Amino acid sequence: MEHNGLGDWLEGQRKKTGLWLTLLLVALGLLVLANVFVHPTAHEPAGHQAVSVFMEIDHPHFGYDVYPGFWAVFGFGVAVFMTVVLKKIAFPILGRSEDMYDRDE
Amino acid sequence: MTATSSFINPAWYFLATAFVLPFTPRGALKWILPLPAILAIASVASLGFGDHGTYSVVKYLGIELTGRVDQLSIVFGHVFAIQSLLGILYALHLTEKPQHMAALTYVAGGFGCVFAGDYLSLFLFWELMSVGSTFLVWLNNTQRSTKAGFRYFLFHTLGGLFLLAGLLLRYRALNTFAFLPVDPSTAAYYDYLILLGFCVNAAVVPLHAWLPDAYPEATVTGAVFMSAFTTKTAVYVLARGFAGFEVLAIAGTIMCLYGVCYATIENNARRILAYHIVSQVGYMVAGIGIGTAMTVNGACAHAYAHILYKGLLFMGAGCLLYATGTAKLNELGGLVRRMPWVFVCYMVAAVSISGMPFFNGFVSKTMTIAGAANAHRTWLAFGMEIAAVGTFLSVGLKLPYFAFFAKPDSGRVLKPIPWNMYLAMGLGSGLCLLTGLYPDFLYKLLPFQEGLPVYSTFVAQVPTTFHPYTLWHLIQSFLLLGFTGLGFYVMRTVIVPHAKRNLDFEYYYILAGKFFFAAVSKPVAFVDAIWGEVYRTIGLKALVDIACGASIFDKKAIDGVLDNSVYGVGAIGRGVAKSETGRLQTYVATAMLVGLAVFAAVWFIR
Repeated sequence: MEHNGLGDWLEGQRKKTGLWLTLLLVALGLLVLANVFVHPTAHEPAGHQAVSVFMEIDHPHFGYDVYPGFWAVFGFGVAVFMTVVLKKIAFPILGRSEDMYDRDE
Repeated sequence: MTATSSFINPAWYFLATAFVLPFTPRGALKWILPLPAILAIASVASLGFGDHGTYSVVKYLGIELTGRVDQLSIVFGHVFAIQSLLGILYALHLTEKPQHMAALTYVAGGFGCVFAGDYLSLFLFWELMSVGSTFLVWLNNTQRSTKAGFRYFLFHTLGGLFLLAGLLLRYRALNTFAFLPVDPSTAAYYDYLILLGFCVNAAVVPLHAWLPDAYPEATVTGAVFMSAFTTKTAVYVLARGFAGFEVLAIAGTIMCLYGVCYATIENNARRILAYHIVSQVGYMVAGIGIGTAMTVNGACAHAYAHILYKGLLFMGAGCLLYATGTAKLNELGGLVRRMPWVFVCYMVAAVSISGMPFFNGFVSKTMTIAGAANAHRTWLAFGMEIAAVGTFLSVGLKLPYFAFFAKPDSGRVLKPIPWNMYLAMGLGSGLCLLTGLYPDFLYKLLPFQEGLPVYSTFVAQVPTTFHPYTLWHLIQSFLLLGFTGLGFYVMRTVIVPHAKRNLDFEYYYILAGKFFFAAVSKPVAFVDAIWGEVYRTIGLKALVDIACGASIFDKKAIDGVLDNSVYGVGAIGRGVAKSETGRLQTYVATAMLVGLAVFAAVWFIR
C-alpha cells in the first residue's frame, strides 16, 4: 500500500501540470472543431434521414445551441460565473464557524 | 402474475436478520450480514419483466395491508437490493452490532415502502426508515452527531405527521387507504398534505436542510446507506402518486440549482456530496413533475444510476474520513499517492454523477434533460444543464483536487482501509461502468415501455425510445465537461475551500423551534407565576386546614388498608430513577418504545 505503481504514477502526474493542460487544450480544440461540423440545425432539409442512429442529431433545444461552440462557452461561462458569484458574494454572507451548532446557548 | 404470488418482500429478510443479530456471535457476523441482501437480489431477480399484481399481507382489524409489485416498484427494488449488498460489504469490518441492526432496519423500511400497496403499510415502513436512519447518525457517537440526529429525527417526525394526517383525512373522505396516482387537476387538501410529507423525505427545497445537516455527521458506513434509500424512496412514492404535478417540475429544477450552489462553497467533503443529493434528486423530482412517459422513465433511470454512484461517492469520502479522521477539504490534500485506488473509484463515481459518456449518469441524466426539452420545458432543461456544469465543478473537480492533489502529501498517519471497503467500491465502480456501457440493461427495467400496463393515467404517453450514444450527444457532453474543466483551472485559486459552514434553512427550522418553545413555555410560566401568587396569599391557609383533615384520614383509614402498596410504589419509583440515566438518546428510544406499545394496545383494544 505504501509504495505502489499506480500511486507513484499519479503522484508523478501531479507535478506535470503543464503537460496535462496542453493535452486538455488540444482536446478542447479538437472538440470545438468537431462541433463546427456536427451541431443541431433549426431547419432540416426536407426528407433528411440520418444514416444511422449514431448520426442522429437532436433539434436545437435552446435556440442558440445551433451555433458551434455554444456548449463550450456555456460550460466555461457557467463554471467561472458560478465560482465568482458564489465564492465572492454568497460565501461571505452565508459562511459561519464550522461549530456553529455545537455550542449550547 | 404468477411470480408475484410467491414474491416475498425483501424487507422481511432484513428485519429478521436485524432481530437475529443480537444473538449472533461476533465471528459469524460477516457470514450472516450479506444473507438478506443476497436473498433480496434473488427475490427481485425472480420477478420477470412486466410482472405485476397486488397481494394481501395481513388483515389487521378490518384493514387489509397489501403489497404491490409492478415495473415501477421493480426498478427501485432492483437497485435497492444491489446497493444493500454493496453497503453491507462496505460495513462488513464493523463489529458493533447496533450499527448493523440500524442499517438493516433502515433498509427494511426502504424495501417495505417500495413494495407497499396501501398508505397504511407505507406509513409504517416510512417511520421504520426514519428510526433506523436516526440511529445511523447517533451511533457516530459524537456530540455533534447526537445533536444533528435530534434535528434529523424531529424533522422527519414532522414529515411523517404530514403524511399521517394526509392519509387519515383521505381515508375519512374516500374510505380507502389505496395508494394510487392522484389526478393533478382534482387533488384535494389531503393529497397535498401527503405530498408535503413525501417532499420532506425527497429533500425538496426549502424542506431539505435536514439532509446536508445530518448526513455528514452519520457514521462512515451509515452515510453510504442513507445516501441510497431515504430520498430515493421518496422519489418512488412521488412517481407513484404525484406524477404530472407542476409544482414538482419547478421545485425539482430549483433543487438542481440550489444543491450545486451550496456544494460549490462547502468545505466538508460529505456535506458537498449531501448537497449533491439535493441537486440530483432535483432532476428526478423535476422529471416526475413534468410528467411525460419519457421524463418519468428518466427520473427512474436517474434514481437507479444515482443510488449506485452516490453510494460510491460516499464510500470514497468515507475512506478519506476513515483513514485521516477528517472530511474537511482544507485539512486534506496530496493523498493520491497513498490512496490511489480510493481516488480511482471515487473518480468513477464523480464522472458518473457528472454525466460523462460511458458512465451511468450519462445514460440517465441526458434522458431526463432530453425528455424535459421534448416536452417543451426549455427553461427547466436549461436549469438542469447549468446544474450539470456545477455538478462536475464541485464533485468531479473541486473535491478530488483538494483531497487528493492540491498540496503535497502532509505525511499524516493513515489508518489502513479494510479489504471489504475496497471490494464494495470495486463492485460499485464496475456497476457504474456497466450500466453506462450497456444502457439497455437499465432501460429494460423502466416503468413505461411497450407492452407494459400504464400505472398512471396522469402521465402523458410520449415515445420513450432514447439513444444516448449518438455522435452529437458525445460531442456535446465532452464540450460541456471539458470547458467546465477549463473554467475550474482558471478559477482554481478562487474556489479554494475555507473552514466554514454555510447557513441554510436549518437556521429557520431552529428559529421556528425556538419560537414554538417560547410560545408554549412563556404563557405557561406566566400562568404559573400568577397561580403561585394566588396560592401563597389565599390558598395556603385553606390548604393547611385541608391537609390537617386529610392527614387524620390518611393515618386512620388509608394506611391501614394500603400499607403494603405504598412500599410497592416506592420500589417502582426506584426502578424509574435507575432508568433515568440522563442520556437523551435513551429517553427518545424509550419514548419510541412506549409509543409503539401504546399504539399496539390501542389497536388491539379497539
